[in-house]
Amino acid sequence: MLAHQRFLFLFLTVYLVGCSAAPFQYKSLDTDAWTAVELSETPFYPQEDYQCGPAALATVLQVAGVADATPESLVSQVYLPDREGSLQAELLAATRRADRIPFVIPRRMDALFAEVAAGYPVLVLQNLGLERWPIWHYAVVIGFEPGKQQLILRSGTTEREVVSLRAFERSWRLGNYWAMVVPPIGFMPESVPSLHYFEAVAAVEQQGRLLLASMAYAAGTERWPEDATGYMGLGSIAYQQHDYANAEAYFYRATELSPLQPAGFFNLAWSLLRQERDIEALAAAQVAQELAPEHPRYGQAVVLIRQASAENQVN
Amino acid sequence: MKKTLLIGTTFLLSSFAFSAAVLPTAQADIVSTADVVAEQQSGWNRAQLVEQLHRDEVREQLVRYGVNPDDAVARVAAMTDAEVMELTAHLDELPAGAGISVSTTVILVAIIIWLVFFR
Repeated sequence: MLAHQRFLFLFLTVYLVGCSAAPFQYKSLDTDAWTAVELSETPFYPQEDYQCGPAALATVLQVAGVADATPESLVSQVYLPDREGSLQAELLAATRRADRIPFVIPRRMDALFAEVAAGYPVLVLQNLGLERWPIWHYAVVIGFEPGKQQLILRSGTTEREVVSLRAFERSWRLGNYWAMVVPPIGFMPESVPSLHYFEAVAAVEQQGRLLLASMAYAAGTERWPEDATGYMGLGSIAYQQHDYANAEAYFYRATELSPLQPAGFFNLAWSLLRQERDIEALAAAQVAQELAPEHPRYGQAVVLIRQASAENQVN
Repeated sequence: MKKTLLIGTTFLLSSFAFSAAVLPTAQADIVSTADVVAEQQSGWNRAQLVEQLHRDEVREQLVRYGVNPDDAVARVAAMTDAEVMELTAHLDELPAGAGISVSTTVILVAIIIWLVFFR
């Protein structure tokens, strides 16, 4: 199957030269800024049949410390029998089920390099075919040699595939430059901006993986001390654990950092109310409401808090 | 206007009221961090009510593609709302890595385009 794939790839690369509009990123890459890297410790799972999704995912999960992740164990989580492949969303979801946080990195070659240089193998989506005639494939980038303009992959049944940056970028571009990393617990991706970082963490918080999420929020507030989102997350977790005093402190910090965001004041109001400080809660709700009077939730902030306060009095 | 919206909502709610988990929790509590992030990305409007319907739809599609129904439940549960929305809209066209499956629809579309524009 793979020999066939490679033949087709070769054929198509010859065919495709000069067809694309946007300039390739690798041409403007500052090769002097990078030194050669190869994460040779990265495990290798030969990908047979159509199961490169489970195999590539097992590779990055192993590096992230998920010892029981194997291609076989992941098939029932990511493989779609009738499509003979795996969807990107399912690779992300399965990572969460393994108690790790998946981060989709920016669609740039230098972001990919930064992650590999930081020690994280990068799972990439490639299209080895044509735009209209796709042959989708997942591989794991484990190194690069900027001087030689080469990239090193774990791919298919090839343990160490060396490809030119040009050939790789062509296939990666047809995969819309999609790539993800899975740092071990307690580590952060290199290239992911704060909003996307916190979005990825909020996804695991939403699934009730609170310890994992709180560690990641704390790490995020250390890297971006001026960003309120991490404090919103920490507050939300404290609140869910009925630790309302700490929730109040975190939400308060969030309102200091983002005084125009109603969410901070809204949540602050609730954590005050839970401590039976109804008057302060109403004041915070008032601010939230004034910041977004038309909003279906914040616009009702005062009414909601007043109702809950009345219910507290009755009980 | 408001009344029709209310009736519509009631109807929508009652149409899947058999599943208690589907009912949106009252807004009388804090905003989730996921919502906070979504607000930063796309403003303060989000259709929360519709999302459960989409989750069911994606689950059914996974089963249709040969996934064991029990696995499908767990697989959808681990997705974010945004991922669910993406799959609802495009599951058929989204890349499924590792398949050499040349989609017949692609060929069909190519033939139709050829018939329409190049003949």
